[in-house]
Amino acid sequence: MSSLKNYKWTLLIIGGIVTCSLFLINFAYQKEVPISEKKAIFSGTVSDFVSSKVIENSVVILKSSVTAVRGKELELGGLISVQHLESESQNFSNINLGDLIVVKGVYLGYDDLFEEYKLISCILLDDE
Amino acid sequence: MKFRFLFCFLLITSLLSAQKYATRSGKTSFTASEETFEQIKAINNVSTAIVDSSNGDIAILLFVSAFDFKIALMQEHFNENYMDSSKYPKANFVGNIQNLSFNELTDYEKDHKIIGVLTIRGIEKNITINSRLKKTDNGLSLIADFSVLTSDFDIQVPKVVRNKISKEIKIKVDYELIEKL
Repeated sequence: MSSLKNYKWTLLIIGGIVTCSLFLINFAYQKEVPISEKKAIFSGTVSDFVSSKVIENSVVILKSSVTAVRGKELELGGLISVQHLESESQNFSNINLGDLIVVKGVYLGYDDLFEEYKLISCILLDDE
Repeated sequence: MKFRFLFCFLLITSLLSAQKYATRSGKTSFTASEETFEQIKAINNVSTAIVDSSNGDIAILLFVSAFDFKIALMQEHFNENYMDSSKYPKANFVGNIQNLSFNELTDYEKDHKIIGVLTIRGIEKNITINSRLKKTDNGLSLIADFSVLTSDFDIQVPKVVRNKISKEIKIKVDYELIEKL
């Protein structure tokens, strides 16, 4: 009777340790929320974006015409450098100079070297 | 400090007006782990750099928060606890590629020393980097490996992880620079 009780306690402790370990592993290895599911704190045109002083590392949505296409990178409104996610390459490859597009991405900050605002991890949104 | 700022400003201004090679998607990576189960390493694929081919002046800028880690939680700790990236969002390097003669570069790598000032967390440090340069179809390839100490940039590592995080951070840059018109 006593050994059965000990056995139950042992099982309970092992179960607790396994549950805690799984919780910790799940917490440590949690995936980053995809950009498509993140809430944008700004949505608008390039000129509105520049004047509104959005804080760095925020998710933003910009609607603008493409003013330059430089390989994998686009320029919007002559001021914003847009670099897209690798998974979006197919969508971005169809964009041409002068196209009006809507992108969602992470605003990194102002690049003093190129004198432009930098947007990374961008995805293309449908223009509504 | 003011003199250095003026020097950096003049250097960047001269880089913007001379014949130059540039990239907006330079790869800068680092490893900072001792023998651990999960390696502490990250890559920044959006580093910007400009090289003036006439005199070898070089300027590099990267956003600290753009370092991409395999584990999101590690990235969060890196930005919030170690690099304080909301206060110091950028790291930069301003220097000169020694004895650069652009016309003598070939498609074989050639060793060049780069001497300059690295600024991380607002702290400046003079460093010398061994780099390898070569001509490419579109411009210039620059590869360099160097190390910095966490203590040089006042990066505080908590006692509990001190045996997991190396005091010496190994940094690698791999830039494909194209002619900037």
